[in-house]
Amino acid sequence: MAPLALELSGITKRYPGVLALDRVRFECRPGEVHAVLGENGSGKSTLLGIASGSKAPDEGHVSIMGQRLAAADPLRARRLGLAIVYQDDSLVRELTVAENLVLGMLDGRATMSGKRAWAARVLEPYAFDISPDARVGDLSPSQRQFLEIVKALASVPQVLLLDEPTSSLDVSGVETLSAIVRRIAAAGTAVVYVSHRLPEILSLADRVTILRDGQGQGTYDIDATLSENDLIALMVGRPIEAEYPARGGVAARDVALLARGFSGHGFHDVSLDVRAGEILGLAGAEGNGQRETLRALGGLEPASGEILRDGTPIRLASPRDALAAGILSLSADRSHESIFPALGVRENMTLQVLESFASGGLVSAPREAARARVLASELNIVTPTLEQPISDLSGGNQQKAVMARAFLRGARVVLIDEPTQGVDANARFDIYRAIRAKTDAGLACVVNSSDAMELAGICDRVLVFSRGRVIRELQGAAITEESIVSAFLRSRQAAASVQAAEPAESRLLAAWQRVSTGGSGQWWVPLAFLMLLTLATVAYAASQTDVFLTGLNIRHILLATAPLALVTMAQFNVLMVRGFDISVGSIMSLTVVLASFVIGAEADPGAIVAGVALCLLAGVATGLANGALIRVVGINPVIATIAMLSVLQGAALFLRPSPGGPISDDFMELLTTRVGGLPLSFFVLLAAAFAGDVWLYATRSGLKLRAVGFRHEAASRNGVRIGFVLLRAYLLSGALAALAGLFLSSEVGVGHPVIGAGYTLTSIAASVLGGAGLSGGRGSFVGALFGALFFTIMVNIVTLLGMTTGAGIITSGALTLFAVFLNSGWQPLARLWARRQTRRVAPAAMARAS
Amino acid sequence: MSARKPAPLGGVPMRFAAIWIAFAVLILLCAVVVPNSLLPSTFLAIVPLAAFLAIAATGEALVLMSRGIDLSVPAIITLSSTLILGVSGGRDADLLPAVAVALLCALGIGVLNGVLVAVLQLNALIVTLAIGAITGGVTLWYRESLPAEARVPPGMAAWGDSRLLGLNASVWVAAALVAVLSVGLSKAVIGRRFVAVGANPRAAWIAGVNVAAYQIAAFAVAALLYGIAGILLSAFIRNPTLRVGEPYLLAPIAAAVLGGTAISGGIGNMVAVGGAALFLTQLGQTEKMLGLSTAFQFVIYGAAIALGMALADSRLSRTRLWRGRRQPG
Repeated sequence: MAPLALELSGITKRYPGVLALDRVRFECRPGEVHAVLGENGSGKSTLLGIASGSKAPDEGHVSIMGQRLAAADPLRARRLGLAIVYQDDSLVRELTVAENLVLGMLDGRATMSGKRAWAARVLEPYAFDISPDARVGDLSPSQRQFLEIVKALASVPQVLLLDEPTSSLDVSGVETLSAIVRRIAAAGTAVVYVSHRLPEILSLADRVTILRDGQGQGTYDIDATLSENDLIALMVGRPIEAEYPARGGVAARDVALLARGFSGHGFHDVSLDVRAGEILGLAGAEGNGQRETLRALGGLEPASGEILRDGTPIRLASPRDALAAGILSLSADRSHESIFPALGVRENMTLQVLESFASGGLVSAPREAARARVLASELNIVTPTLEQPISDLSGGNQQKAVMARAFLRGARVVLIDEPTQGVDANARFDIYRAIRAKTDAGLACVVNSSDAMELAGICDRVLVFSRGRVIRELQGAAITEESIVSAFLRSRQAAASVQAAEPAESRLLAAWQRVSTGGSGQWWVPLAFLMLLTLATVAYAASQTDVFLTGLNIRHILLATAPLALVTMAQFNVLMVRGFDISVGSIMSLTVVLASFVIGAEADPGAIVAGVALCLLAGVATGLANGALIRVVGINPVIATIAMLSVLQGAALFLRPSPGGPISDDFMELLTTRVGGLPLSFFVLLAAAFAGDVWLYATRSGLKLRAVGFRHEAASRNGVRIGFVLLRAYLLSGALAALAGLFLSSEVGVGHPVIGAGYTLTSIAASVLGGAGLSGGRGSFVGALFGALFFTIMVNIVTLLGMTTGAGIITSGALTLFAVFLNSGWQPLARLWARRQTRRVAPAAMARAS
Repeated sequence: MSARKPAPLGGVPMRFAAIWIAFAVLILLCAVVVPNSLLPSTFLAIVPLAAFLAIAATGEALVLMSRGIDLSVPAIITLSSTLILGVSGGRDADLLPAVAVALLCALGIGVLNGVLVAVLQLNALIVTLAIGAITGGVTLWYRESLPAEARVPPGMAAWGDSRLLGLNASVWVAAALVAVLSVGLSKAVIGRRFVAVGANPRAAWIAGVNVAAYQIAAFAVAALLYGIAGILLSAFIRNPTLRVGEPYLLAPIAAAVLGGTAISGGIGNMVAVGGAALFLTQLGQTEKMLGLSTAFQFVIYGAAIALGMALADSRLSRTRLWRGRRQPG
């Protein structure tokens, strides 16, 4: 028999409170399609993570093509011939198809030169009609899914891991994918196929391994004797740990909440109703629209359709709207969307009902504490005191405290997403009992859960979702874990390929958004805008004063551009990786001061060289220190570099309490050398900026940097070492700022301790005006250079026209605001506007729907 | 996501108690090295400076608690002090309108900061730097229309010199403000909601809180506090220049961070921030008496910010060092 392509033996993985995998064994032979099957949370994703080297197992080991993977190292796993297709893809949406394909390859296997032809060759066999130049964000979800697969295949893997590859594919897509999988398996690749869909598995796989609660349930050959029912029986049947509360024998009451034709992101044309006294469950495999539906009902996600609360149409534009209608949401993402981690248990429980304990706007502590104590004992919250920060509590106790909010608030409809995720067994049953007690008292409750047994245990009715639609409704005794799981596992429904037509104005907005925030395809837009702005400014200045266009003044402007351009490039290079460097101004000041000591009036050429080297070294050291504070210690970049600013400013003032110490004339002349009447420095800068942009846009290293700026997660999945990229950016920033300081010193001529202070803000503004985005990944060095040129021209004009210094400062502040507004500020405005539009449209749509 | 440590000192969490311990250590060191710095006369001379810093720092702390940052402090302090000079024209009769105009302008700038940050979602650092620059430009232009030797009204100067129970009037104002803010944050409904918005804006939004309004309020109240600091400073200095606000760019951030304010939002204690202002001021005084360059003050601010952050708010604090147990996930 051929050696195993992938072998996992005795894999155990623990997470706090959970045994995710328990001595699991898994193997895949070359040329085999081996399916992994299990319910939500059975450990499939953890298994893939360990196989691909991105997670380290606590016990056991992984071998790829016979080679042991000694430590968790995704890059080594890839070198050994493994590739993985993620469910939520590893694509950088802002980059093009070709760039993403290059990014996905190991170093040396693909280059940026000729990337389009190469990408077209890679894509060609699949006939997907995806252009190498298309921005990934513009592709449809299924095109993205295929691109993700092609990216994995482009490296010609020996082992291919596919995680739920069909979740966003329609029928023909599933067929295309199946054909691809069969073809590569026939060519000898080992394929590990994780899926929820039994029909796919039975038709595609050679063998199947089943996981249940982190334990292997055996590996089976797929043949005519193995039926869907056999597989389901192996997956479910977890022992029941305790009694579920009795289902309400309460007679049917009025419909509390009704949705008709409810559509939004991830779900389409859903109709549901929930009655007072009833628990309605939403079920489905992960990512089939059930969560999105629940969130939209609570006003957390935008949606359209008709919503009636106690028979009255309501609007759900925000959680506030929902709360006003008596609908309260509890998110599944407890740490990000539910708890206030730093606050105490009591404060977490009472936030939404503070008024009820207050008189004259002040909360009565005894009343609040008394109410919190009562609820805490009712819900059996285990905590030393109610003042304990909630983040110190176990998941179950956190969840109970959060649920207390719903009960205190007296909501009529409560939407609970994953009521017991990360909750231990005892607390789970406390939570079920509390929910049941409240529904018996007339509450209407909607629960979304990935745990089918939980739904079977507590729900009066269950809606099963598949690909964004309700495919099945289960009631009463028909609700069992098995019936729920088999409903969604057997679903043959494919994703709707219909794309809802967008209204014209939102298309316009989208186009605008693409132009102003687009990827490399629109690189020229901010540059063109900046050119126009510069030309208009120059024309105005020329019309106001004859001096402006004289050779002397132009020379002066170009000369004065150098320090600002360099510091802007320094800042831009940090903004690219979504950082900030507030210390650049103080690096410049300190460099000027240092220069006044080490490149003094009497310095000979040798001393000048040594002095320059020393100044640059200081800049590099500062940059490294910044990078370490941010990346190693983990301090927020703004605060870390503000601290650095303060220290450097102090050092500069200590060395030169007041301006003094002349700087070498030779050195100053060197930096102001002219060719053809114009300063050499400007041309050198222009060349450097071009070189920088070539690096950013035409090399793999630059591609990785941009990927880090756009999306940390995707970059790291493609094997980019993020820490290295960040440290390099801060180091470069320090060096460039020091160089800027040297040019500044040649301008001022003496050691001046605070001369650089104003440069920090301008460096950010000029970068942004030159096309850099504060959210990383966008912009160009040439843009930064021209942004700096523009600001220098503005300063020059203010001086020439004899305006006050005040006017100059105001102009630069206003321009900064203008630049950041263009960069991102219009987006929230557009959103607000769009929301107002939907509010206006909503009543009309309701009328049509009914 | 730093936690409040179990309270070792009469219910005050360690992150807020730490600054008082540091202050006690500093006093002990001073007693040994520069006993002169502890003379009542020295102390009474520096405590108004601590009061100005405390007021500005509580403002900064509010902004940090709402997950923003404010670098327009110097500009707003300078503007309000210049407006006092200009509007009052040195006449006692016009003092009240001058104070009102100064406070209103400060408030207006704060609201502008807040709207740009919370509604347009622009970066707080850039917004406050830029608005600070614009405010500075306007102040410069306005100051040029005033006589160079302009002074505050005599009544104000007298008030600025007055003492109650031996302490400068400004100190009482600062203490009152700190007390009001402290009570407001822990007792008032709006204060409690404000804290929640800082602790987790997303969860607060889902809980139905108008997050943007509270974020705007943080900048607005902060600016009002800077305005008050500027007015008190004017009364104390009597002929404030355009450089009166200069020391207040980094010092308030240093004081807020040393006082245990978390820049990740939601955690802050105004009394501790006041203590940090006292600590930094006494430290500065000690350096001066030791004959050290004032430049060291900056180095200390920077080190204080970095150290405070590293202990309270960084990756280090999230690991075993301060938390005692690992965060899941």
